[in-house]
Amino acid sequence: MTPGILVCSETDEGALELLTKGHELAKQLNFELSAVVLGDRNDKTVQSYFEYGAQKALLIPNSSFGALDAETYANLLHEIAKDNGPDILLIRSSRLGKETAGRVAQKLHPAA
Amino acid sequence: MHVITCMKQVVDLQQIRIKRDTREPVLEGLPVLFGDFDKNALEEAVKIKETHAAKVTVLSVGSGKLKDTVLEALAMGADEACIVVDLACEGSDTGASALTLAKAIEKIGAFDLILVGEGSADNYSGQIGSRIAEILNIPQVTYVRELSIEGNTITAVRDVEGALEVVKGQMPLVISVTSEINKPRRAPLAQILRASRKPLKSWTLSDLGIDPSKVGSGTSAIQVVSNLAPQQERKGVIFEGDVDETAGKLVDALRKEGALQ
Repeated sequence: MTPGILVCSETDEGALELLTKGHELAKQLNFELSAVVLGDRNDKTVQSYFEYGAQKALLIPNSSFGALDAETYANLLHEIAKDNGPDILLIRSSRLGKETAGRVAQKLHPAA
Repeated sequence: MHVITCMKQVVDLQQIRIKRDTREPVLEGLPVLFGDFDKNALEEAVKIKETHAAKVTVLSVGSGKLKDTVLEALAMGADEACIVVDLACEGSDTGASALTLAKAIEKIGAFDLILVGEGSADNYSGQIGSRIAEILNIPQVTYVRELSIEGNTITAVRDVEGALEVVKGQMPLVISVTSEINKPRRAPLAQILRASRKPLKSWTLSDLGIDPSKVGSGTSAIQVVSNLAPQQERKGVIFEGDVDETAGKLVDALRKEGALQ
């Protein structure tokens, strides 16, 4: 995956909000802006991610993760980000997002 | 059952003064204590001890003042305290702090529950519980407002946006608590005096097998650029006229602001 910014939100509303900011940062840094689309979505909804600035969307269907708890979400993001991953993960600041962010940060950059 | 409560020593936020010209907080010379969410975590641990015959250990990484700060935690009902005091820890980011706590937990030994507050009183990153769970490879249940235990199973009510979620889990695990979970007790003076007789273990990084170069401000991935109080502009509205007129205008303005009922 090309280094850049990855927007991660369990809701579409949150994703579009983060994409708005992500788009601004991506322009400033000359980074690629991508977004995770968590769960099954119709084409119109996925299209909105591109309209809000995403250059790539990673579609992750419901069937691949079951219930979305923080451990599952963190494992997913880690898989995406670990090899040549994005420089910035913009994660929605919901309680799920906050818990997941701590786990992902620990996975990607442990202190020792 | 063994419950470890991780607590963070912070300055007394109620006593922070703000410099008027620069909006910088004055943090030097302030008394230190454990934050409110951490006290909720400890209170829950002590309640578990009272109903399940558990042992409660308080764990904290901080300055030399910790040996006094923990007395209140011991007085609240913890059975023993383990503190990590090492200058090299100063300025550690959450990753380094979590590593230090996790190594200390390994040194403490077998446990069933690790309780933490939903965030620290000063930084409120809310990452410590998640990072410790990741390092120790155990589950975590966050934002818990109600907790019960039966055998090896916990049942927790989680406060998530717009809903209450009930989850069950098997120990060992990490639990982060909200302020709704309980009202921390005030330790009576007699308990505070007796607290100094409870076991207190003090460790350095070397005791935990941590290379000092892996923690502290030198390794921090985050740099605090500034820390300022919010700007508070006065509205600067002046009412002119005689006393009755200006008093009436003032009352109307206050009503509009919702300051009068």
